[in-house]
Amino acid sequence: MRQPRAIEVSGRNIRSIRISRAGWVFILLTLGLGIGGLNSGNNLIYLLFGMLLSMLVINAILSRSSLAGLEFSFRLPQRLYAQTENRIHVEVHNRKKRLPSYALTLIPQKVGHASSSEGYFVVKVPPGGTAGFVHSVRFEHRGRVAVPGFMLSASYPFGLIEKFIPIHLDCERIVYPQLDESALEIGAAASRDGDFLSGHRGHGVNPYGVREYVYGDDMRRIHWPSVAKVGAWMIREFEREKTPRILFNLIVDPGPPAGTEALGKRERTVSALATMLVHSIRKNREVGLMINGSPVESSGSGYLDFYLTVLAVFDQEQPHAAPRSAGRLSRVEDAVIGLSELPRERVDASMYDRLVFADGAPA
Amino acid sequence: MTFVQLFRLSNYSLILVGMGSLCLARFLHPVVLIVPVAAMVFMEYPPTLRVLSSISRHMVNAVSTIVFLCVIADYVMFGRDLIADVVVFTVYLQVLKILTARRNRDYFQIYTLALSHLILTTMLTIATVFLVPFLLFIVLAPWCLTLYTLKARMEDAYLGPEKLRLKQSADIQDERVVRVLRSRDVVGGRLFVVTAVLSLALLAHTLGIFFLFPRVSLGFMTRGSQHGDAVSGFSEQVDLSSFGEIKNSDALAMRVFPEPGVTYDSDLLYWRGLIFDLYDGSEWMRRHEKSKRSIVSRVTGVVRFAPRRDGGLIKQRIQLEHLDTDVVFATPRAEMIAWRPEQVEQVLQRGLSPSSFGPAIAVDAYGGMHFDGGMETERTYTTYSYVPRPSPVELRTMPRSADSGEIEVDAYLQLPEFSERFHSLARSLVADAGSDYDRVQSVMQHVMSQCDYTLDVPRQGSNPVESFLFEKPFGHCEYFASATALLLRAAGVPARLVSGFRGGDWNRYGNYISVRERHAHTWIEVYFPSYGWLSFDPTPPDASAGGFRAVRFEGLRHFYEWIELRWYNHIVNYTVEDQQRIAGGLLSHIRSMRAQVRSGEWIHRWRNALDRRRGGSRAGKPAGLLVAVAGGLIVVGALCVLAFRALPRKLGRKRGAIDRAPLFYRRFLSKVQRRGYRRQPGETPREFAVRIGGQLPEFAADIDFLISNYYLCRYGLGRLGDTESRRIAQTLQKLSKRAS
Repeated sequence: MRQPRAIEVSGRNIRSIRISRAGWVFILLTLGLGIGGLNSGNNLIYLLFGMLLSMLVINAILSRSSLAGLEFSFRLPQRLYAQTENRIHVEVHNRKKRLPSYALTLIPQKVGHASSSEGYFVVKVPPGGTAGFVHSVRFEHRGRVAVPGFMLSASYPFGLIEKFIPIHLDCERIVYPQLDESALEIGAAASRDGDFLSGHRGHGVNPYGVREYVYGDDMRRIHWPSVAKVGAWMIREFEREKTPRILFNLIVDPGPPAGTEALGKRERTVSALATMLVHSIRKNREVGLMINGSPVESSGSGYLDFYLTVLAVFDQEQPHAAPRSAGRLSRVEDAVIGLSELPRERVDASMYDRLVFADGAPA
Repeated sequence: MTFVQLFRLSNYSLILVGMGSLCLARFLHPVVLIVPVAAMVFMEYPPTLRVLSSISRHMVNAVSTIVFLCVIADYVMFGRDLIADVVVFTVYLQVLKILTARRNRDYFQIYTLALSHLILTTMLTIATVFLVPFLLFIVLAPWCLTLYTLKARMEDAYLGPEKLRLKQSADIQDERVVRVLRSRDVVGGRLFVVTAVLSLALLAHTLGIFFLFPRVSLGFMTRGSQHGDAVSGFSEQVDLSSFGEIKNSDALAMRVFPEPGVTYDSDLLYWRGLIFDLYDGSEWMRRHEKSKRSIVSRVTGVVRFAPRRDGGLIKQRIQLEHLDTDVVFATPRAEMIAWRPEQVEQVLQRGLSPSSFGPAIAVDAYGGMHFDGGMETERTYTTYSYVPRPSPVELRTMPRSADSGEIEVDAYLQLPEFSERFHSLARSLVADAGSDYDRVQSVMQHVMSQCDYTLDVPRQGSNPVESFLFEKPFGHCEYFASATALLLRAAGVPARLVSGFRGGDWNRYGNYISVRERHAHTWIEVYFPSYGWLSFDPTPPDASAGGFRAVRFEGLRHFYEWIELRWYNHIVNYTVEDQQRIAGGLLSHIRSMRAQVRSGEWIHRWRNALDRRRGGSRAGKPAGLLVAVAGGLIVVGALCVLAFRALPRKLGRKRGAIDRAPLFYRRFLSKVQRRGYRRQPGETPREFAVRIGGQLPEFAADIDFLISNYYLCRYGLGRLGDTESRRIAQTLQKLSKRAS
C-alpha cells in the first residue's frame, strides 16, 4: 500500500496569520506608547516603543523561520475501517541545519465525516532531528475518502502572532466497513465452524477409522482398545483436513437506502458481512462473495482487500444489480451464507445454509 | 535547570528589573524591594501555596478594589502626584500577582506590569541609569515570553481550553505537561544561544526604530517631559561671611570639547561666568544686575559680540550638564557663539539665514552672557574666544587705567570701610611699583605668599577680608580673589571679581574636558587700556583645584561619563533636526559615491591612495584604514561563522553516532542528501546503499564498495589503504559532479 508522500513546508506556504489575545494587548500597549512618545517627545518612551515594535517584528520573522524547513511524513495503517480509531503515525523532521523549531501545534483538519483528536503539540524539534506522534482519526462512513491533513501553526518565540500552514496529505483511501464484534459472534454461529469433513483418509485430527497394522506404521497410533477386542495389532486412521469453501451473498435493495433506519440496516449488514469475511479468511477458509447473486470476481492473494473494497464502495460508485434468484447460487461450496437487509419474506431461505438478517438474528 | 525552574527564575528577574528601575529613578526606596523578594520566597515554600490557594478570589478582588479606591482618594482629595499613585498601585498589583499567579494569563499580566514600571521610570528620570533596567529588560523579556509561549501553547494543546478554563493550570496534573515542565532538554544550550541572539537582534532593531521613527512632539500632555536633576556647584553669589568645610563635589558641571589637536595652556582653562563689581564688606554684588542687560540676538543661529578677528580664535564646544543657572560660560573673551558651528561660515560670509535657530543670548553690562529667558533646553553651544596675551613689557608700558577714561573707574575702585592697616598694606605693596601690572603682581605675590589655601574656612568675623589678610590667613579662592581685588582697588587699580570654572579632567574616551562642581573658581580681572579686562588668578596652585587632576578610578569614571554623554546626546536629546542631519548626510554621501562611481573617480582615488601608501605618505592613511576595517570585518565574520558552527556541539547537541562515523561516510551522506536521498531513521547503511543503488544503478557498485569499507573502518577497526581511499575519493567526486 502506498503511503502518503512526505511533505516539506517553507515560509512560502504560510496561508494565514492570527494575532493572539496577548498579541492584541501587546499591540495596544505599543500603540499607546507610540502615541505617548509622539505627544510628550520623551525619547525614552520612543525607546520602549521601539522595543515593543521590534518584538512584534521579530515574532513575525521567527515564527516563519520556525515553520520553515520542516518535513512531515505520515504512515497510515494498512487498512482503514469505519467507526474505528485509525492510528496514523506522524513524524516531523527538521531539515534546518542550525535552528531548532519550537512550539509547533498541529490541528487536524475536519474533512467530511472524519473526526479526530483536538491537536498535537511538539515542544521542540532539534536541527536535523525528528519528533513524532500518533494521530487517531475516525471515519463515520465506509467508502472512498480523502485522508484529512493538519493545520500547522507556530507562534514562537513570543506568542503574539501565530502563523498557519495547511498540510494536505493529498491521499485518497478506501475506508472499509466497520468490523463489528457482535456480528462476528453471529457470523461464527452461522459459519459452521468444525462442520467441514473431507471424507478421505489423511493426516488431520478427526478420526477416520481403525485398520490392521502393517509394517512401517507409526507405533504411536496403535489403538489399544481395538487390539484388546480383536486380538491383532490395530491402528488408528485420521481424516484428511479440508479447506472449507464458504460463499457469502449480500442481499440488498438496489439503490441507496432511504432514511436513517434503512441506512442503519444497510451498514449493519455490510459490517456483518465484512466481519465474517475477515474472520473466515483469518481461519484459512476459502471465501467467495456475491452481491445480490452476482459473483464478485477476485484474484491473487490480496482478495480480502479486494472484497473489503467492494463492500466499501459497492453502493456508492456504481448501481448494483437487483437480487437474483437464490437458485442460481453455486452449490459447490461447503456453505452458503446469506446476509440480507431485506425482510425475511423477500428472501428464499432454502438456498442458504445460514441466513443472517440485518436485525442480527440468523434464520 | 528544569523548564519550570527557569520559567520562575526569569519571571522573578523581570519583576525585580521593573521595580528596580523605579528604585534607580530614586522614586522607590530600595528597601521596598524586600516585599516582592519575600513574596517570591514564600511562593517557593509549598505550605504557602496551600494557604494562598485557600484564599477566595473574591476576597483578593475586594482588597484590590479597596486599595484602588484609596489611591484614587489620595490623588483626588490630597492632591498627591498622579505618577506616585500609579506607581504605588502597580507595585501592589505586582506583589499580588506574584502571590496569586496560577493561570498563564497571570504571567502575561506580570510582564505587562513590569513593562509599566519601566514606562513609569521614563517619566521620572532621564538619567543614564535607565540604561541598566532597559538593557536587562531586553535580555529578560525574550526569555520570559519564549518560555511563557512554550508553556501556554503546550497546556493549550495538551489540556484543551475547556480544562484550562475550569481549573487553574497549576493544579492540573497532566503527565505530558509535567514531563515537559520538569524536562532539562527543552531549555538546553541551544535555547540559550537562540534567545541570546534574539536579545541582540531585539536591541539592534530597537535602536533602528528609535533612530528612524519620526520625532513629532504634539505636546498635549507634556507633564513629565521637563526633567530636573540639576544640582549647582556654581553659585551666583560670593559671600565671604560663611564658614565651615566645603565638600568637594565631583558632579559634572559641563563638558568642553576643544578643537582636535589643539593643546591648551593653563590660562585657557578658564570659563567665565559672572562678574562682580560691588563689595559691601562681606558679600560681592553686581551693580547692574538686571537693568543694563542687552539682548544681542533673537533670530540667528550665530551670535556675535565683537568684530571678527582673523585667526587666533579659540573654538570650544561646550555642553552644560547639571547647572541650575542661565549663565553662558565661555573662555574669556567670547566673541561669538554658534548653536550650529557648521552654519558659522554661511551666516557670516555668505549672509545666508541659518537653517535652525538657537535661543537668544543676553549680554549684561559686564560682558557676561546669559540665556535670555532662563535655562534653555538647548544646552550645547560653540564659543569662539579671543584670549589677549600681552607680554609683561607691553603691559608695563600701558598708561594707568584710572587715567585712560575708557571705563567708569569709580565703579571698579569702590571699597567698603576698611581699617587703616588695610590701606597701609595696600600702599606699602605698591610703593615700588611703576605700573599697574607691577602693582597687580606685587599684591598677588603678597597674598599668595602670606595666605594658605583651604576648603575648611574658619569663622572670619565681621570683616572677612581683613581677617583673612591679617589674622586667619586661611581661605579658598573667593578669599584670595577678594583680598587681591580689594587691595588693588585700595591702590587705585580698577579690579573686579569673576566667578566661573577653572580646569577639569581630560576624558580620553570622548576627548573632552570634564568640568566638575569642584572646579568652580573665582579670580579677578584688571583693566588695561587697549587690552581691556585681563584675567589674573591670585589663588595659589592647589591639588584640589584647577588643571588636569588624577582621581580614583579615573578610567572607569571617564568611561561612565563618556557613556553618559552618548546617552544624553544620542538618546535623550535626539531630535528631528538630528534625524534630518543624519538623513541629509547619508543622502549627500550616497550622491557623492554615485557621482564618483559614474565618473570613475573612485578608481583614481584608490590608486592614488595606494600609490601614496607605497610611497610612505601619510595621506594614504584613509585607504589603509578602509582596508584594515574591511579585513577586520572579514576576520570577525569568519570567526562568528566558526563559533556558530562550534556552538551547537558544545552547548546543545550531544555527539551522536553520525559524529563518530568516518569522514568519507559523512561526506557520502551529505552528497547523496543533496541529490534528495536521505537515510531514514532505522535504515541501516547497507539498506540505504541498496536503496540508492537501485535508483542510481551506475553508482551501485561504487556505493557498495564505499559502504563495505565504512563497515570495515567503523566496526572492524580497519584503515583504508591507498587503493580504497582513491576509489572512494573518485566515487565521491563522481557523486558531486552528478549532483551539480
